[in-house]
Amino acid sequence: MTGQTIAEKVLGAHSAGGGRVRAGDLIDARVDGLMAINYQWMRATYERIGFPDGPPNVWDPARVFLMNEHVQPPADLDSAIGNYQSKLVANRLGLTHFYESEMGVCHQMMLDYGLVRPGELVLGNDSHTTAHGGINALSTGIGADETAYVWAFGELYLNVPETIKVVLRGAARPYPFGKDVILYLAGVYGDDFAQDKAIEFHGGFAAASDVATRLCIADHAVEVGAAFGVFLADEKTRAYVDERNVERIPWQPVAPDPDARYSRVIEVDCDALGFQVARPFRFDNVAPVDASAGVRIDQARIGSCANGRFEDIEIAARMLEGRHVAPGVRFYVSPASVRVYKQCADAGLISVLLEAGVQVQDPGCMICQTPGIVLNEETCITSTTRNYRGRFGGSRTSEAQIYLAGPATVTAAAIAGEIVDPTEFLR
Amino acid sequence: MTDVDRPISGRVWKFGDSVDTNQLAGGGLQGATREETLRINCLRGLRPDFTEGVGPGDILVAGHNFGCGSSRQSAVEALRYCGIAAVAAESVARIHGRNSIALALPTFVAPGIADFVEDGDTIEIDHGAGVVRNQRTGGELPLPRLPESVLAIYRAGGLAAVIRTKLAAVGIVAAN
Repeated sequence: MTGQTIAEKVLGAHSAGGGRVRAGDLIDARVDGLMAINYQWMRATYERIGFPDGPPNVWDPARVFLMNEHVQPPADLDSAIGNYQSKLVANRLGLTHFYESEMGVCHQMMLDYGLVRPGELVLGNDSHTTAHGGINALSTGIGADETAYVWAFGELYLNVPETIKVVLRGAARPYPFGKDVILYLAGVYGDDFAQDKAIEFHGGFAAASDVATRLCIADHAVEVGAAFGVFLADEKTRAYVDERNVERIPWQPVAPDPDARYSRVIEVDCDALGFQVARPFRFDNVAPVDASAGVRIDQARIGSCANGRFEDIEIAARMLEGRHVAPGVRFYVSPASVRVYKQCADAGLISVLLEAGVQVQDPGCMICQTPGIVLNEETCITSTTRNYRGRFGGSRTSEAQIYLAGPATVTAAAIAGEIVDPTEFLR
Repeated sequence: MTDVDRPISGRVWKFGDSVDTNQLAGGGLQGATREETLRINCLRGLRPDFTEGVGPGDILVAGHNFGCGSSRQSAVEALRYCGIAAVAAESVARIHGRNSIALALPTFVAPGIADFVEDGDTIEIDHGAGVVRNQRTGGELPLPRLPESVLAIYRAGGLAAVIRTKLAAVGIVAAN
């Protein structure tokens, strides 16, 4: 009997049918937690099946985490009504973890509030739920109707995926470099090379990097099609999780067997990589930053579940100390959560950003969406999650140029007014 | 008989690889209703003639990684509001594929489909027979069969209906 991957172990332990599972199996998986964001997305589901007042039950009121975080404060009537109704639902069903009006990115809030731990299986109705793989959890995104299903029954059908082993060799960087690594992978192997598969991230770079870097890479696993993107747990993971696991819920890390079977092994020498940029309009349209050097920008962004953590904002502040955002450039920075915002404020980073001319925005997912529209005549470089057509304005801004890069490259562009290798700004 | 069990015939709208959910349901123009907003913006950024040209019963053919991006279920709803009766793609992004099953929009992975049809062709997707037929060329393309558990969701009319049935079965809600 050959060994098992992390995905096979975790899914096997959560299979309703019990027993050992193998890549290719289709199982009913019992989850440890469900992240349900923005109740208004689920309202229609319940209306369609005759529950206009919302779900008649909840599988476990302590393990469904309801957050109204994508639109804070709600800017339109539908969102406001959705938030109001979510409060009625949360009260009626006695949800233990309900966040009615907190600003923040759901995935960071899950971490901040200790709602996800290593070895767990967590689902959520946002594609970047893969982020928790950065702390050795198996987690992934689902749709609204599937969320309603898990809400009711605590389980969902899942494929047991094949796993790609990605070995990241090299030393940690003294600045955020996770975005560059995952962009490089997408550029070389394509934006669907892990379609329906799990990715395990191994190697010296993975081990040496901080948790923020791992979260960034795991978050973006979905951008290469992966169902799961998961790192091993270590002492850094333990410290990060235990500091936030206020309920002291026990957890067990999961590691693959030495003879686990992988569908593919990919090795990357991270030491040999420079800064990477994805050009419009695909995550895999990647080249070293020099290929985009000189492109004038109108807007820059740092934030989101990918790159809105303390480390991402700290590098921006470090680079902006004594410098200023270029004339004609709008630079938006949004911490990923209230906890991250406070951490940045306590460290004096927010003052530096404000003095440098940065527009500091509330924590939340809006940094990755339409507010701050980029017009068809304009160009934006962003460390958020996606550079799809119309990402910052919809179908009428489908020609707006959006480049994706890590926070150092974004900050350098904001200072220079054009895309530039950030190396000199980091000295 | 449900949509996946009977042959689906229609005019093809052909798209390339990695059509993302921002193209399917990314907003932009404001319609009178949510449905109208989803319909008029769907794929407009990629192909401005789609909104006015697409009609009930049409079929969308795409390349690899169709529906990549966010988990928004509205990406499936938008296609339905445009009248799209079925989707056939080289590959479908994981969450979008699951959402299509959940909302029972017949969505098929059909390797070779991109070279098999041209925009404007009329094709027949016959899942029961395991084949796609191109009326113009007379060609046939093998169509992989959907798993039984997925077919069961389609036949129930979608995942929400399954929720209703299951809640009734365990006595949480009344049967009707």
